[in-house]
Amino acid sequence: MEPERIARSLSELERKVIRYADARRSVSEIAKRADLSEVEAMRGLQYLSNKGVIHLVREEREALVHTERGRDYIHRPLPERRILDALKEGPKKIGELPVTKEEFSGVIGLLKKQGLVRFENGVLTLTEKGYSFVFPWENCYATLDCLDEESYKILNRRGLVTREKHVIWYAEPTPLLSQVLPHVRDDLIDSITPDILRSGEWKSREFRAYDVVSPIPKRFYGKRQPYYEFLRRVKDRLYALGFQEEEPGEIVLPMFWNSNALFMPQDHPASDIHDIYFVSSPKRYGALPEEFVERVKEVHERSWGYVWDDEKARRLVLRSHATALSGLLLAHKPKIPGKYFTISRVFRPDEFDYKHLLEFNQLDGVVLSEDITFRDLLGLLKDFAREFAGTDRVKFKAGYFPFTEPSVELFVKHPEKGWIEIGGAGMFREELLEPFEINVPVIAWGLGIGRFAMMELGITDIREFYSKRLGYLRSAKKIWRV
Amino acid sequence: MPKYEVRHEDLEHLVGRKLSIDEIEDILFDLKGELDDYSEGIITVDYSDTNRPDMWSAEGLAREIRGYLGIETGCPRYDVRASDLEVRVDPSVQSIRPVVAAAVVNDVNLGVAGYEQLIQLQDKIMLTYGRKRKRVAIGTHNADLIAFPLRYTTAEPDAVSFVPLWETREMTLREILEFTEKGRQYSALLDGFARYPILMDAEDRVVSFPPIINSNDIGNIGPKTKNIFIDVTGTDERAVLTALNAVVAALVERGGRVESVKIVYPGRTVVTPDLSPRAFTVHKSYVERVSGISFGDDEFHDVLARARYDVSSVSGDEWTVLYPAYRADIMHERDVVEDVIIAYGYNRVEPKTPRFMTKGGASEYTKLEDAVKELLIGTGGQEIATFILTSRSVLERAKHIPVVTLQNPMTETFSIVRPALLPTVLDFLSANTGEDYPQRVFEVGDVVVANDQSPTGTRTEQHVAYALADSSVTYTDVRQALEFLLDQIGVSYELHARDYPFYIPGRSAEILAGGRSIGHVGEVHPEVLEAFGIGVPIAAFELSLSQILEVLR
Repeated sequence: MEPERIARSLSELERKVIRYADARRSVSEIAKRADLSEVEAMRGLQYLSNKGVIHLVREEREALVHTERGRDYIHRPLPERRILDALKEGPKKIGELPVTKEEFSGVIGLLKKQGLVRFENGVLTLTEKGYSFVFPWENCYATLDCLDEESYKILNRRGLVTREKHVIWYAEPTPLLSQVLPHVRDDLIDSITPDILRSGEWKSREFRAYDVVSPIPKRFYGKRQPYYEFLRRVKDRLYALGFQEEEPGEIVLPMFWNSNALFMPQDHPASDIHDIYFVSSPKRYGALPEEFVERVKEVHERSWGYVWDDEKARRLVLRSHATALSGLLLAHKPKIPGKYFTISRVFRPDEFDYKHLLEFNQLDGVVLSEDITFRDLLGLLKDFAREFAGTDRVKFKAGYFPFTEPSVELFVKHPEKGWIEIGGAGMFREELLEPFEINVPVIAWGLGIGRFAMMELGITDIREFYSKRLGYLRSAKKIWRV
Repeated sequence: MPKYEVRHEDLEHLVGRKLSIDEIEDILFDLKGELDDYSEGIITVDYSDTNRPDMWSAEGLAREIRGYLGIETGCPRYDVRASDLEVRVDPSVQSIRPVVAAAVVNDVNLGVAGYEQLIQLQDKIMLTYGRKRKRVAIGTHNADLIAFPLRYTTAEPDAVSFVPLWETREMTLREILEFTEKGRQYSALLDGFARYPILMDAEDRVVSFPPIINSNDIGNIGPKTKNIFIDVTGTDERAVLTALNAVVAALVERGGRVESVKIVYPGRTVVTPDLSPRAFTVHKSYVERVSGISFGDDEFHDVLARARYDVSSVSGDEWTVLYPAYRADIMHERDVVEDVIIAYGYNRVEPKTPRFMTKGGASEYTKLEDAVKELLIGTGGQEIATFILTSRSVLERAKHIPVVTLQNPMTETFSIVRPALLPTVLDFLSANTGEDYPQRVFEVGDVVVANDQSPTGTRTEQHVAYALADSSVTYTDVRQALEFLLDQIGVSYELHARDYPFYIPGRSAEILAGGRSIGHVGEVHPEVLEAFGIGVPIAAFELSLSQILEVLR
């Protein structure tokens, strides 16, 4: 920055200290001269140092200082002096001396060793030498500026004086300072106030320039949660593909709606306690639509050859797959032709680790129309692959789902991971559709959005979807390119 | 998803030609399977169809591959020699484990590979298709050691004893349930019964104790066993017969010759196994309508043959086909369609795009949710996401009462469905006491609340919770955000002073709209803050978006 612009950008505080920065001075000295607190002066000098006008230099120095006890004797005589002076009036008993017991025991050895006093029968008498003697530290005790090493040792042992490390900051001018100084002005407008605007004062005065580039503290504003933002983007694409989103569904469902209405027999392995959460309270079971249950029961007994158990159908569970909502959709007379989808949280007993959650979102949907075939199903999956994986390289694999036939799994070629499965689909069986009285073909599909989300958000631990770290949420990049 | 292992060499031997591992991977992909692993000549197959037990061994897989490759097509035929061997069924099994089926397969060349496959196939069938032995349990025995006729009957737990498989001493049925591994694993299947099912031979020796374990003397087969007796017991006759057929068909692939067994029930006699092909009528036009593929008659013939069907007669559109008896998954014409498409090749089918147009769009709820999020972000709120499953401890600390608790949670941490969002939001804030304040966060998500009107006694609602945590926080600040939100989405509301356990008395209000309670706002009680280890004040609100939608409707 040019010297003139620097001069124009100085705040009031900086202007106050810059005058005293023309030679190497300690910060405390500058503070004294500028009539500022040391903290204020330091702040001003730091700004100046950011602008390259001065260097701040830190120096460590060892200095002699009084201890807390030692400070007592700065303004009154040391105990040894008080004893010597008192004895000049004549011999005295210990109790008559103007010192405390502690002070006395601290110095009596010193006085005797130097031969300044005699101590006989509890009475203290001054010697010849004692009349005129002066300890070497007595004259510089207050300032500690002429203390010899021997004296320091004695005072330190007595707990009066110690050595301490001191940090001293110095401001040293850089060559830039002399170029800046002549331009420093006091008549610049700092913050604009309504008064300045009203009076038109700003027309005749110049503005102080701001430091507009130095680093400032970060601040966090509101934004969307990254994983939920991803889901929103997924929905946008499905709208564009002509899919209508279903209204949110119930989480607590009777087994009937979760599984049986989808042609899953009551003893299906996926209805096991290891694969589905059973609700222990509330205990109340659903009052199921009787006529409809009758139809489902009849189909099950005919097709699977087992005896229907009404109690099992009423057992309350947590929704274990989003297809359960497709069944409920069919029960509510959907529009034909129609394309529907839902993104719903589903629950399954599982490990909780970087690969598994106990609850996760599934993207599921159906397409209902006269005359749709397995080929339309594959066409739809190709569209999904293009839309969600950005590729036309797909492979179809025969799959198995209890509620669809034919069933298919969708694989796409990933540049690094090779062929990966991204979804499953199929055509609902007649046995499932009959009780719903739906007599057009229905394509059912589901896409593994968890995998997409991990790739999109660049995470390898699936638990990050529901990160508890506010720091991560605040710093996570906004998804906008999708 | 049954997973099983086969030896690469053995599979080639059964198919009748060399197959590279890449080739096998591609074939499996087309046949509903997946190559899960390959190491030291062992292939791990992940097979997705839970209704095709015939496909869960090297023998069945090879049979299907031969069809797929055109090496051997059409419905496999089996000769079953009638015999006088009998299993006499006592009426006492009726209420416990009523169904039994049996077969003898002679002159089998098991070898090590075949023996491994037989044991594995039994295990997989009993586990998945057999519903952990409840529906189906299988026993295989050395037929040479058995004196016919057999009796399928019941015995009191202490009345009979024998040496169970892999044990060295005789044990009573009760002891077997108590002391052997299999006994403990499956004893629950016999809970509550005073007598247990038992299969005895003509010399009153125990052959097996279904569905628990075989006899060590008779039931212990090995790679060199030539003549094998198979018993299958269970509760579902169709499943029992299918399982028997699958095992017998696999043994035939190893050169076995099948002999039937008469099952003499009180009042009726059944001869098992019945391996004669099953007839089924499909309409070619139906297959074409579902698949979207047009087949010439010859081509249709060909794909059916490679899917291992025979065509027994054609009358116009009606094709009567024969399929092997080990398949019980053909319930509808639709099931033939899939086989036909597999034989045709899933990746040969030309995808097409549905012709009709539909208008896509967001649900009513999503529209509201989106508006709510936008408005709260406008107030500076950071959106967060937490789990719907939570713990008793979180709810207690937040002074909320559980509604839906789980019977079989994996861990206490995820054992209750949250009835509100505020507890999980507070839990989130308690994990971030080291982050810069102010922390202004909100969450929108599912909760499950109690509801007397609903058949489940609960109702899933969508809520929003908003919280501001900072060294100094005011009720007014958060109320301003709340009112901004409600005003902007067009809800007329009133605030009524009301105390909540989780707010400071005198510093909270209930939010009412359209005559119903839609939420609350207040300053969080220091007791709650302390319980969550949060050292700064928090003001918060929670609203039911589901209720708001109903008010706006």
